[in-house]
Amino acid sequence: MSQETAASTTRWFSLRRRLLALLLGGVTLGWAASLALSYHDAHHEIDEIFDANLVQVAQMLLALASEYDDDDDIARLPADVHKYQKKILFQLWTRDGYLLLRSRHAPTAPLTQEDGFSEAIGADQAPWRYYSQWDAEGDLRAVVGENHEVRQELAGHIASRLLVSALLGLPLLAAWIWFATRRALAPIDAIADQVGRREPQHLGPLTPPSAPTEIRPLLGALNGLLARVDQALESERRFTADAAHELRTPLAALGVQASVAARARDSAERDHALAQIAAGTKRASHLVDQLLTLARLDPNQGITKSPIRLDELAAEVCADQAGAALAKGIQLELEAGGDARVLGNADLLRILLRNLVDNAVRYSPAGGQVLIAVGTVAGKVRLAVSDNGPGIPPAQRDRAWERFHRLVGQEIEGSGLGLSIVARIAEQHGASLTLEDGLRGDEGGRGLRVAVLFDANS
Amino acid sequence: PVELSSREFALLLALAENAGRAMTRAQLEGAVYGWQDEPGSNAIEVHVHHLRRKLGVERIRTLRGIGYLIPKP
Repeated sequence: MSQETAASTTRWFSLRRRLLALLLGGVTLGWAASLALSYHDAHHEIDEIFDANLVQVAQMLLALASEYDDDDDIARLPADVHKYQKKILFQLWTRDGYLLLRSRHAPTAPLTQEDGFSEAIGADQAPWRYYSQWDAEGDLRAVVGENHEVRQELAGHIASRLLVSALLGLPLLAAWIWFATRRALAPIDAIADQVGRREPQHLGPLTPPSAPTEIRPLLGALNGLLARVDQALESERRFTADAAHELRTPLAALGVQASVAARARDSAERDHALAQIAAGTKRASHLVDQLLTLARLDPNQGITKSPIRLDELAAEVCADQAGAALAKGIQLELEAGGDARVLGNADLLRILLRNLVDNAVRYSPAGGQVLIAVGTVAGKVRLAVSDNGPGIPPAQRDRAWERFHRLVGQEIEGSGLGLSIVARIAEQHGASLTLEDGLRGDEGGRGLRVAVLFDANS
Repeated sequence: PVELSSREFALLLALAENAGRAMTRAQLEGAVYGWQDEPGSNAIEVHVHHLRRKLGVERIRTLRGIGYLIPKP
């Protein structure tokens, strides 16, 4: 059930896909940036080198110019040895506009009129970069031109080499990430497998042989939950077993009385058996009531609280129990003083009070005394219910809160659940409980006082 | 024949109807005065005192701190 609701509300995503997308995206961006940077850098460096080259060639031409003195010399230039020679041109001009020397593919018209570096579209419709310089005497002018495409080609070539290696690298990287995430997530799969193969009653902690620290909080929380579920199941099991055991005795007694009544020889005997059955039924239903009360006091369930006057609530509960007290000749008294306001649940506190007063009346001897005191002690509200019954020896007081715990040799009827119920309700109110000696009775009993200490709500 | 005032009668009725069970002072004030009248601080005590004088002291028991009760016959 919970799995289906989880499936319908949870937005699932694949950690591997997400990691893959994030990592690849990041890497691609990084590579693209470095590629752009490399291209820019290469372009710049190439420009520097090529420009330096142009200058060098121009200066060399000027230095060598004195060796030549007429146009015929052009014929003596060697033939092309490299295809790029068409992309590099030069001209050597005299001051009076005579073309002294030019490279094989250079036009006879001036490449450029400008001095220094300049750029223009050449006769072949391509962008060209020129450099021209006069010699020291101002007689000769060297013009060197170079097809700009050469530089772009070179920079582009360098960049494309980088791009190709990046494009080849990305799928490799993707495959690696895919493999690495699978490997990294393997322990989680192992844990899921371990949980999946568990029997429902196996609620021990999950102990994978290895697990990433990142899922440690998850494992811790899961193990905490398992422990709590285990505890809840265990207490449920114990409760059911105890309850069944406790109910068996009164039911067996009822059965015996019923067969006695069936075989009764006279009406007096039958009436007696029937009266026993009536009393036994009453006891059994009291036990069932108490069991249900206890079962409803789920410790994990929140309760609604409101400000309550504990003294008024005590008076009400005492008034309800007064009849039973009177029937035993017990003197029931309520002593109230101070500001007895607490924050609590009236229904639950009524159950707590009723159980305490009922216990006190039940265990006090005929003609005994039960005193309920509500007052303030050191900023807290104290409720104390005292009787002059047999009491509980100090050594046995700790066990008195346990369910179905009854003192050995106890003859008085009781479910053994009263103090458990009181303890549970006190716990839900953050109140502390103590058992002390109560009122000293005529029969030598030590008496019992149950004190409940609440936080004041004033 | 005993003569009772209306308040005494209301008080006796409340106690008798709940015979065997104690009534707190707050419950008795509600029964005798309803919700509109504001009773004096010891009004219930005074009425109980009068009732006891007319019916006999043992008829109405006092439970200290709790309230009053008429035992079941």
